[in-house]
Amino acid sequence: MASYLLGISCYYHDSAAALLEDGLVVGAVQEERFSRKKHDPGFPSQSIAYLLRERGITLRDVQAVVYYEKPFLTFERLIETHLEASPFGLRSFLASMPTWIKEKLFLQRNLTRELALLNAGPVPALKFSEHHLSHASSAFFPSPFEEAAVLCVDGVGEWATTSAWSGSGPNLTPLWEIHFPHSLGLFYSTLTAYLGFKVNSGEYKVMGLAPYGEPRFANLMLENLLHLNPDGSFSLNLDYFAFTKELQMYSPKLEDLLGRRARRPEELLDQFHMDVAASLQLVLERALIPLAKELRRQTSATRLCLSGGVALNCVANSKLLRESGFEDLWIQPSAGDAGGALGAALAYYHLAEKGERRVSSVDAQQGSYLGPQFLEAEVEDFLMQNKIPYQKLPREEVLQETSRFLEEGKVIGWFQGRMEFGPRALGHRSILADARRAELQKTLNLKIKYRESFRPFAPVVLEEDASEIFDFDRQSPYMLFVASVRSELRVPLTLADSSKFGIEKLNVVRSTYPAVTHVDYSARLQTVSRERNPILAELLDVFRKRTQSSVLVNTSFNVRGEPIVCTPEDAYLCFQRTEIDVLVLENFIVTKGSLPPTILDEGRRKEFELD
Amino acid sequence: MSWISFKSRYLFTVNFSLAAAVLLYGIRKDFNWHYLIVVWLILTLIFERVARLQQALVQIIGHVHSTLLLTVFYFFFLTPYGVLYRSIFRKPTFRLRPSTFEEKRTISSFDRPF
Repeated sequence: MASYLLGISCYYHDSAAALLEDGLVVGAVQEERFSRKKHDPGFPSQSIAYLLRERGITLRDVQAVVYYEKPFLTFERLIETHLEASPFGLRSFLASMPTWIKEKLFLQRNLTRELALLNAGPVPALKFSEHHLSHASSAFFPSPFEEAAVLCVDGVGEWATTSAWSGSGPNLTPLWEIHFPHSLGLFYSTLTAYLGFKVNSGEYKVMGLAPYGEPRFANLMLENLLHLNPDGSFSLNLDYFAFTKELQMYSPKLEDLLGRRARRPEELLDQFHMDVAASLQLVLERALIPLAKELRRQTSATRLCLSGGVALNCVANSKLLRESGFEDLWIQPSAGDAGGALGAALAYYHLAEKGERRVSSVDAQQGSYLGPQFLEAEVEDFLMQNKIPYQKLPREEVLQETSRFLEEGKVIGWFQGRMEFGPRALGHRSILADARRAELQKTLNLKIKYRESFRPFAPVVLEEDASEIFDFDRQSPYMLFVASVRSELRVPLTLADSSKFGIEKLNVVRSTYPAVTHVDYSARLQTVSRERNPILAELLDVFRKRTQSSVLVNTSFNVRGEPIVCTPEDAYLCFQRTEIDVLVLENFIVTKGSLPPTILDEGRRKEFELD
Repeated sequence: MSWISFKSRYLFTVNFSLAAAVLLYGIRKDFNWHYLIVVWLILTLIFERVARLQQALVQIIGHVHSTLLLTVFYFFFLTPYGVLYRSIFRKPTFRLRPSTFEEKRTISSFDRPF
């Protein structure tokens, strides 16, 4: 009989649940996809219910539920931080304490109650992993490496903000940590808040903004904000950060240092903000590389695994790959706290239960397609019940039709198979478009995603074609690396184009794939293999046969502020609300022109809070 | 209805009325105005909306109450102890050091939340 372990992460942000069957991940999903609340921190009831239902089991079959961190250690950190900040931290104390006193301190009781409320059988034993152990496990155990060094970098867990581990077979040995308040994640988040973006969600926007700027504040930041120690460690100068005692991340001293007040959300972005973003990105990279080099020196490992929210910074990941001395790098695609659910279960399985680890040349993440999928009959039922006109076609024709639409410049809502686990849409819940069309970058941002115009789009390309188009000779199935468009595919810039600044740069056509080429010629690349994602690979193949191009734009199937779609209904509502031209739900094609106006109006009602 | 929903919908209301009745008796030493509490109790048991209003009011009172208590705790206990903490027990991570690496040898048991 199979043995099951359930990992959960919740009550901070991005709650999630993951299920292991005999040590293999069989499902993992974020609660936001069901609740439709972005970064939902609540107990992942719907995620757990889905995971149990999908395997046809109850909680009686689950051996243990593993929570992804140690709440009492987090509380200890909170109290010591308030002791350190007193008497100037009252507001932060008043904001944090009630939730702790009411709920988080009684986490064991609350988790038991929530699990009981699922009415899915007796509550299994509750276990607790450490926050960074969960991250490290999520990075190492699913990786294709028998041995590797592991680096976790995030905002903060219990005390650790950065941790290093050595992984070998089913073992993971801790090496060192860097403790709060010295945190690269919080450093990045503080400057993200200064730039007017939301903490824990706007960081990737800052990364996208950075190439528009010049890193003219990098030295200023290194002299004043973040000190890099000779041994590779780092420390923050807390005079410029307020997160230990205030409700905001930065102190007024930071505004004085950079010579300008912080940007308010939705305020116009100018060259100054782009320069701050560029400087921040450079400083982050300068801090990460010595950490990785030190880890390489200590472990002599040739492979590195990364996790923690900072590992979602694909620009820094690519620098690490090039400059840290490691030959290979594997990054947990759900590197943030959601991935902690998976890591907690894996840590318990391998370290407490001494479960065996099977390593193969392909990672155990299964393309991160670990969420719900819908049968053809379910999709058809949904379409028929809602009287939505559709075309049902055999798979080969779906691919031909989709390819034809793409060729015509249409934007496709693409819904296939199991939903992705993690923040990136990897071709199962994606919006696809032809990367050769220059106008699509703007159209997608402003008319479909309703998001900031500066944000770049990612290319998805057949694995075998990637090196012909990008300076990249590896796999990037999880969109966690950037690569430059090859020089022969770049369009030479005119003198007028070269002298453009800031957002103006956006309108310059830079390559034969302008919709996915960022202003510095980089692209956040996803490579697709037939083993991991056969249907998307087939689509790219058909598109290549028709157009001699196997590059498409791949962006998440959602609008700004909305979690990525989960069900056919979510996909349909998103399709209606936006200017997506065609919706492909498994083998069913719905086109905008075929919809009666009343159905369209209905769909436009639901709005999401901007992220 | 689950036990937890039942508790928050009905038992909370009954407890609230009982507490209000005891408080009122403590203040006035008579039962002249207790019929208002009975009316309120009946309304909250019948109408979901009144019960929600009551819960919102209790939440506001609770928020004010906890803010006061926490403020007193912060300035009269935590702040003086903070002085002692910073001079004797301060965690190394809050001190200025040439390296912030902290050696870690073991992981904590999965059986406990600390």
